[in-house]
Amino acid sequence: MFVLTTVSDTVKVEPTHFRKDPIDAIKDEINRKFANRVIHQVGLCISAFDILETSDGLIYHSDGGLNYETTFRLVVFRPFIGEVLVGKIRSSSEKGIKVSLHFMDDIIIPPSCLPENSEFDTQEQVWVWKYDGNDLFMDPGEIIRFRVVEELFIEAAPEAPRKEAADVTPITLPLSKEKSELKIQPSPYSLTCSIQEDGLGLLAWWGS
Amino acid sequence: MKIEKAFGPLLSNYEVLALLKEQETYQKTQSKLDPIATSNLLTVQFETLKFLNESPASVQTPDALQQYMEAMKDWKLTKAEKLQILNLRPKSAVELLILIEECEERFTVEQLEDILGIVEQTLPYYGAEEDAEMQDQEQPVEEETTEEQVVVDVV
Repeated sequence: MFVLTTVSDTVKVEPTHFRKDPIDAIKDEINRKFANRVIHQVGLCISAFDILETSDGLIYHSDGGLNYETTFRLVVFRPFIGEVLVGKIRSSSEKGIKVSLHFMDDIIIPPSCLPENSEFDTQEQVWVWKYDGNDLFMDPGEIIRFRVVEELFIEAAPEAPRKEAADVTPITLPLSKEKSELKIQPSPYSLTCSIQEDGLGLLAWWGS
Repeated sequence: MKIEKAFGPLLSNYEVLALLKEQETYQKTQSKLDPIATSNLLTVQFETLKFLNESPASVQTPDALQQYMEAMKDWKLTKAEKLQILNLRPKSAVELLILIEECEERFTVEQLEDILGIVEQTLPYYGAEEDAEMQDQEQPVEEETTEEQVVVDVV
């Protein structure tokens, strides 16, 4: 689920950080730029891992900062298709169940990927799996095991106003690619998952 | 910015946990002089640590990982499968089944039991609360020791 990604980039260290060890200063700058950001088609960056090589710091005209040509590795969250993850149910709606891994919230299990005979209880706002005459509720906060079936990267257009984007519910599903690309998608990286298999679903169901 | 290699080596949850913990310690020594750790890093670090501390990685040790990898060497499993088993630490056959591709064709029931045995032997037990209760009935001795530890911690 976590991979190391090698990236090369110019890293600028401002004069205020010159008292630090250069490697630490470069690492801090990399973290400032990449931590908690999604790189298109790569994944969600967690943190800098190590620095493979770096040039001498160059100073440009009329600027005091040191510029390093650096090759470094990042810890990136990028589960592969088919990977099984364990998370917590965040919320449910008719469009499916949203799951959170704390650091990654754009995970959705659409109704088509729930176990057969699942129904949405509009009163309780939860999905119920009707199994063998038993009602198995998928309440928020429950721990759930699921399989990644699809990933979707959306390159954020720079002109899209941030405020509007935040108003759109991120639950829009990547059912058809063209359709979802037309809409404003606030999430640059989202996962569609399934629990339609023995062993998947709430941990409590399978008794561990 | 140039992506040199998008998919390098895979990291286990334990390795990420260790890295972030170390980083957190480093920040604590630094922050007063240079509050460089920016909010984006602190956010993702806090949240990822929270996630990992609620996962089996929280009780794993480098020794356990090494023993596990050594024991798994002879099994024909892909790297990703081994990693998933390590990260999720299955406790039953049904949990193991979903982690191995075309499991039924590649392994017999006995072989799966053997793999589960390796997991049980090498990786420390981790369970959610309800599992802990079940475990309590099965292995009362182990539970008692953890309780003692808790008491010691409180004192």
